[in-house]
Amino acid sequence: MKIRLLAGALLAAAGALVWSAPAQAVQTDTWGLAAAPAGNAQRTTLTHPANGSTVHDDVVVYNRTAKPIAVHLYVLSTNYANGVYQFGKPDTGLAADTSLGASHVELGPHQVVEVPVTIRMPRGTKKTMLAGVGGEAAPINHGVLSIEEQLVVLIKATPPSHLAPLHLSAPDVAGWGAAAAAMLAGVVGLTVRQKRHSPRLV
Amino acid sequence: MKLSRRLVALGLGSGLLASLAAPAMASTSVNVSLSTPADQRTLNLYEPNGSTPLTSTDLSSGSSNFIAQVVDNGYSDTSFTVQATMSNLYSYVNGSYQCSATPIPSSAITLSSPSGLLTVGGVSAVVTPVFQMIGTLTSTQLPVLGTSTVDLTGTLVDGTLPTTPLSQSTLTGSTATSLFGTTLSGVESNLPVSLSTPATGTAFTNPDVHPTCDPNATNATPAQIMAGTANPAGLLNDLISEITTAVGTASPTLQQLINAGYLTSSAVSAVLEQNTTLMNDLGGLSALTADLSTILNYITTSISASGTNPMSLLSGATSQSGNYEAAPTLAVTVPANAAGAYQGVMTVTLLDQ
Repeated sequence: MKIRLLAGALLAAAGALVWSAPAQAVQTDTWGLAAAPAGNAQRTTLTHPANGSTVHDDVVVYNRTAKPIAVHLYVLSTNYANGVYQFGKPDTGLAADTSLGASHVELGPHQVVEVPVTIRMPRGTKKTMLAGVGGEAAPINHGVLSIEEQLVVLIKATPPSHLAPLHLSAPDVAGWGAAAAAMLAGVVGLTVRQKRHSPRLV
Repeated sequence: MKLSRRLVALGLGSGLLASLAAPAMASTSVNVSLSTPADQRTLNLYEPNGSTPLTSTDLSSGSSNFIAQVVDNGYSDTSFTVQATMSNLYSYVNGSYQCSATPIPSSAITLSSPSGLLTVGGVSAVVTPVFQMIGTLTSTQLPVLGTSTVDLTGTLVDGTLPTTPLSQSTLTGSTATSLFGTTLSGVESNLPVSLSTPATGTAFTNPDVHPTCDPNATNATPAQIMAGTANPAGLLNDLISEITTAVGTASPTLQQLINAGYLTSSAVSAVLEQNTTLMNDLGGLSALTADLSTILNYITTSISASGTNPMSLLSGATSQSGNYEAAPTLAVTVPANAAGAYQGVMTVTLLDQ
C-alpha cells in the first residue's frame, strides 16, 4: 500500500501536456526528452540566472511509439571539458540543488508528459554552472555489450547580469549581517580616509 | 547513482510500479498524437550494415564497429554532442554475473572514430540574411526633409530567401545526395551546424555503472563519438555568392533586393518606422508610404563579407536538417588472465549544449 501511494505521488507530480509535437527535442527512435517551452520560446536547455532564487521549470518526456514505454529520469552532476560532458551522482554543485517531480514515468502510446524540475539557483556564481536531467528507457539486455541510449537536457545557472534582490531567510541573516557590517566599516573607513586627504580650503 | 535508480526502474519500476501506477497516470495525463514531428534531433544507433538497430555488440574478436546517426529535422543551430561511457565487463557464466571475479576493466576498451564522419546526407538549411543599409537621405531625394538629413547607414533589416530551405547542393556545392570521403571532408565543418569527430581514440579510463556488479561507479570517462557546433556564419559566403549572382551587383539597392526576393518592402517599412528622426521629418506614416519607393531606390546595401558595411550577419532564425553518421570502433585489450564470457553495458548519450 505504501509503495502504491509512493508511486501514485511520484507520477501524479508529472503534469500533462496537450500539444502534439514537442519542438527542439532530442529523441531516440522510441522516446524523446525536451526542455519545456518558455511561453512561445522553444528551448534546448533549462537556463536561468544564478540569483539565489528557486526556479520551477519542466522537462517534457514523450513516447514516439504506439506501445507503452517506461522512461527513467534522474538528475546528474555535470562537468564539461575537452568536448565531452562528465556526469556523476547528483550530490554536488547545481545537481545537488535540483529535484524532479517524477523519476519513473510510464507513457502510453504517443503520450506526452511534463515533469516538474525544481532548481535552487546558486547566488553570485562567476561562471556558468551545469547539471543535467538524464533519461533512459528500459534497456534491452542481450549480448556481450548491451547498449543503452541516454538523452540529457542540460540545466545552466548563468552569472546574473545584474545584482539580484536580496531575499533574506533566517540562515542568511547572520551572513548578510556580517557582510553589511563589513560594508559599513568600509564606508566609514573610506569616509575617514577621504576626510584626511581632502584639500583644505584656506 | 544512475545504477541504483536504474535498478529501481528495472526491478521495481517495470514490474510493481508500472502496474500500480497506471491508474494514477491516466488521471493526470492526456494521450496525444505525434503528428509529423518537427524541430527534433534524433539519435539512432545501427549495426555496421547501417539499417539494423543496435542493441548489443560483440567484442569477442577484439573489436567491433557500429554506426551512430544523428538526424536533424528543421533543428535550430544548436550545438550537440554524442558521447559514450562504458562499464567494466564482468564474467558471465550460465546466465549470471560473477561479480567477485576479476572483470575486464573499462580502461581496456578504447573508442575511436575515423577522422571525419562516415556520411552526411539530406542537408538543408533555413537562414535569414540581415542587410545593413547604406545612405543618407536629404532634400535632394526627399524634398519634404528640407534642411534635415537622415543617415540610415548601418540600419539593419531582416531579409528573406526566395528558395527556402537552402538545398544540399547550394550548401555544399555538390549534387551528390549522400556526401562522403573527400567531398564530405570539404564541407562538414562549413555547415550551419558544423560536424566533427574526435581526432584521437579515448580509453574508458573510469567505468560507468554496471546494473548488477558495480551500481555505485561514478565519474565515468566519456568518449566523444560525434559533435556538432552551431556555425551560422559558415553559410555566409554561400549566401553572399548566391545573392550577388542573383542581383548582379555587390551593392544593390533595397529595391533590387526586393525585386530578387531577398527582402520585402514591409520589412523595410517596419524598420524605418522605428527611426523617429525620419518619421518626425516626414510627418508620419502616410508620408513614409508615399516616399517609400524613393527610399528603396536610393538606399543601398553591401553584399560583401568585408568593407565598411559587411553583410556579416545572419539572424537567429537559422535551422538545419540532415542526417550525419559516424562509424566508431570499439577495441578491447583482453587481459592475459581473462577467460570465458564477459558482459557489460555501453551508454550512448545525446545532448544539446
